[in-house]
Amino acid sequence: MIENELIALWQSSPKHEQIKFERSKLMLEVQDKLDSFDRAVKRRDWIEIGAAIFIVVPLFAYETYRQPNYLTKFGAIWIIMYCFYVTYRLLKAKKNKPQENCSYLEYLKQSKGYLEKQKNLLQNVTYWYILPALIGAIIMLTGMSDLLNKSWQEIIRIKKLWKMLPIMILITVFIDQINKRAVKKELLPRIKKVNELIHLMEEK
Amino acid sequence: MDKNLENTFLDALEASQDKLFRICSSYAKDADDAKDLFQEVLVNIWKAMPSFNGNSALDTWMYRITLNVSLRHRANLIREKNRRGQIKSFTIEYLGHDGEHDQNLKKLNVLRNCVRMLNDADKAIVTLYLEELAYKEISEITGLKENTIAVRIKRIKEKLLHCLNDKL
Repeated sequence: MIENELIALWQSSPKHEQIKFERSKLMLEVQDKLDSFDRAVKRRDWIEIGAAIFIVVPLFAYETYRQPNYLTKFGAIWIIMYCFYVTYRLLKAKKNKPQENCSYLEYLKQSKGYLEKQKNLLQNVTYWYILPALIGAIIMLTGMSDLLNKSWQEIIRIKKLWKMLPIMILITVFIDQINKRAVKKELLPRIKKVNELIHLMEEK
Repeated sequence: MDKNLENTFLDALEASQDKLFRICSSYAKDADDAKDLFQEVLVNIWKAMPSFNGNSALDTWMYRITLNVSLRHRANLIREKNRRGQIKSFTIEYLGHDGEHDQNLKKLNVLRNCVRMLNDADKAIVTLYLEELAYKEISEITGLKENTIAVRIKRIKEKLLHCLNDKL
């Protein structure tokens, strides 16, 4: 088969399949699809961020006012600051998504950068997501149980403390593991594929 | 909706629909998948329309989006399918065939399968080449230099012809 035949064969597709659409209806449906996608993104953002800002922040702001112990107040303020920090990190991570209207190679490079950032975010989830929350909870717990004014013997006798500790550790390990799994199962294969493609595109 | 933008989009779509669909077909695993991908491309083109600044031809710009969405589509396929509905006003009619057409269709399917078997980088270049785009345009779409494209196309053509000769 020669080159021209190859091209003619490739372009012969309308003889076998014809694309048809109604102009007015298509526009409505495309716009509707786009709107439903935007709504889904907003809903997800609301669940992730709105819950933190509009539920956790007022709750702990009230605790700051209500709790008599200064350490507890400090713990509550810590949690509030933590909510804003996590929100900032999540919003920042969503920025710089690859732009579909750039060239293929540029899109690959942008995808690589975006995926690398996502990977770092998830891999370091212990440091920016779990540990600060844990520290805030420990500060509050210390204040609420007045641990600083108790002896070791008294602390050991606080059953609530020893019940909460393993729960906190389990939650920490669980969040850490699901994020590491997401990196291993989803992000690393995609990064590998994008790297291979960039290499293929750039090879001479 | 902006009527001018809408008409520009629809006119460009009517002019390039077969070409864009052929590109989608080479990234899709079957006809249904190609249709899904084409819908995804339409939505993304429409979404990006307000950002089109005329620095390149509209069809060149649409090819870029098609290739980039096709690249992303495979990774997100299942999630996207579940999340979004289908566009019903857009259909693909498969025409009945006589003997000669059947032969041609068989060859076309073999060619499409051979293109599908290429790696994504080669696939991106060859689909544009098969649409008879100039090297300059392919360069604008892929971000590669024209001489690199020329060398690459020569090599991919050999692969394709080898595959076709094996299967036909």
